[in-house]
Amino acid sequence: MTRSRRPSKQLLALLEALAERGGQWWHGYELMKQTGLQSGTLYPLLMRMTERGLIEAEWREPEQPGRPPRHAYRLTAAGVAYIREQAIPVQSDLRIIGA
Amino acid sequence: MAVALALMRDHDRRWAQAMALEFEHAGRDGHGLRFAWGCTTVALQRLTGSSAGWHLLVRHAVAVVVLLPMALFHLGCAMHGLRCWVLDRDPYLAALEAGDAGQRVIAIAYRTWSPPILLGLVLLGGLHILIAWRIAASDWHRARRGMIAAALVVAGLLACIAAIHPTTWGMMLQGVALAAEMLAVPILAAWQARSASPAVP
Repeated sequence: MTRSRRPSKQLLALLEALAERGGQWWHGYELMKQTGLQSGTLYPLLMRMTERGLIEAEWREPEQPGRPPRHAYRLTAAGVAYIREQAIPVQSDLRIIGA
Repeated sequence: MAVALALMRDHDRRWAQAMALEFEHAGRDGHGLRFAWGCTTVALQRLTGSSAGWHLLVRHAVAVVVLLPMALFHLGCAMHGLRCWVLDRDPYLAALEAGDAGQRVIAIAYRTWSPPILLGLVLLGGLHILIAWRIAASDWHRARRGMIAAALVVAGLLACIAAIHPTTWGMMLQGVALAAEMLAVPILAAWQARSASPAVP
């Protein structure tokens, strides 16, 4: 029997923030401002979530030309499934990115 | 932030670059220091979470905490001795020359053997820097060669000291310090090799 652990308060805050924009991309610093998490908490969560396939990360061209690409993150279908499985309350319509 | 980036190893390079770019944005909002501190703790967590990370930390700790202070100590002694020798104002030598016949004999030997001792101390300091650098880079072959060269220099220094005024405790201390350092290199190398080798099923 597999036992699923309740997500931490920090992970909940991050999932809620990611879900808020549906399939839109977030930058690391934006997520920090949105969730109130410090970089020392946010990045390990992002790393673990990427490894687990809950979010995808890619280098995206910034809006301002001439600036280097920034690493951006968004929920995957597996991430959406996880939110539903854990019954995490989110404000947006997850169908945008969900299966 | 530079410390955090330096601590992130190759497979975390993508994350390090991501953090570096976000650091610019945090810096513009006046949160750069807090952001960088958080990234440094992440880098340390990632390092301590793997045996390769522990190896890197221990190697750098041995280099920075043990070997570099030893190098500075030897070079400091050499600079102090050189200043006394050049200015001809060595209080120990003055005391010996003002002493009895036995002490005046020691003073002559002291004056004779001071230049090779100073040279030996400079060499020993330089060798410690080289060994620290090679240990940090996991270059055990050159670290061992450096240790052998250091042992030869210490042997030469002990011979010079013995020619001036042999004291059992002083010479034993030098020998024990070098033996401890020499043991550290093969122990570290063996630990790293054992951890790096594939596990036997």
